[in-house]
Amino acid sequence: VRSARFWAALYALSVLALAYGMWRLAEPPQLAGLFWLVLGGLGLKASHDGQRWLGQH
Amino acid sequence: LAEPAGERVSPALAGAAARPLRRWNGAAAPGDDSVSLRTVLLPGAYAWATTVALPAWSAGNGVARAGALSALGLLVLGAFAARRNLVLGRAVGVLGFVGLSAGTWGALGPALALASLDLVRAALGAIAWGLFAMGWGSLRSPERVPELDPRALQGEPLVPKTRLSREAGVIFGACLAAGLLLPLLAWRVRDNGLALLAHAAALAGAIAVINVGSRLVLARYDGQDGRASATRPSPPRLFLALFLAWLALGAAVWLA
Repeated sequence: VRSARFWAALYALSVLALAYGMWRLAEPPQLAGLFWLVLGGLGLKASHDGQRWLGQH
Repeated sequence: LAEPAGERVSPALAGAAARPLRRWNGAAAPGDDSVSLRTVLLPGAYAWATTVALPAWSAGNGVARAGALSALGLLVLGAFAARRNLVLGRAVGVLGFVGLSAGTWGALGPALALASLDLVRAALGAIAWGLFAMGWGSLRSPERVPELDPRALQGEPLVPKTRLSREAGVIFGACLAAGLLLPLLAWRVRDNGLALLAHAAALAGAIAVINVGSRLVLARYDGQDGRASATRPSPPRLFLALFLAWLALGAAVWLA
């Protein structure tokens, strides 16, 4: 978690999760789409915090 | 006979310096192209045609059509008025145009239901609305030189510590494309109750994707070597733990 590449990979995975979640939201069951959206959102927030931490230290 | 190279001023710069500086009370000098007609009228007219005029003429009544025509009139009037008075032009061209467009949608009522919309046309219209909003941004006219402003600090220009590489531009372009993809995917959601949530989530997600992506691109220019030393405080783990917990919960539900 101290590597910039880790946070970059988490960012890429989160974007994929968000895109897939948005795609799945149009098809039943919609809860699956919501699951991926929440997952992507959490990953983006974690990546954001990690990037900011890297920039500050 | 010899003229110092540093004091040589080209005729174009001298002409720009002779022009009256733009006043900061919102009134633009005549001929100041701070609001481009192209960047305002083209996307505005397209957004109006696809999202306002089309439903008003296909399924609307007289009130909706009158509102749509008035909105178009305010768009054109505001764009031209902004060349004389920026504040007034923006008030008419943005608030008036958007307000009357919203009024037209209100007059359409149930005819504007999601099921009756052409999704591709609506998505293109949404993009045009975004371009219309950005088109109202003030741009510095090419012949205006900031260094000739009497309030500018004279001296040696500051040299940037580094320049962004082409790879950084490509990565940022990919982040931008990913951010733009989310609102487009949201148009696939046809359920009336869920569509609003999808668009709100897509908008928030797009902002977050572009924001974090720009940090990602610029991180390598912060003097970081990509790997932190052991003396640093521990990195943030809260949302990473929530991410993993949510992933584990999903896997457990999926396997159950």
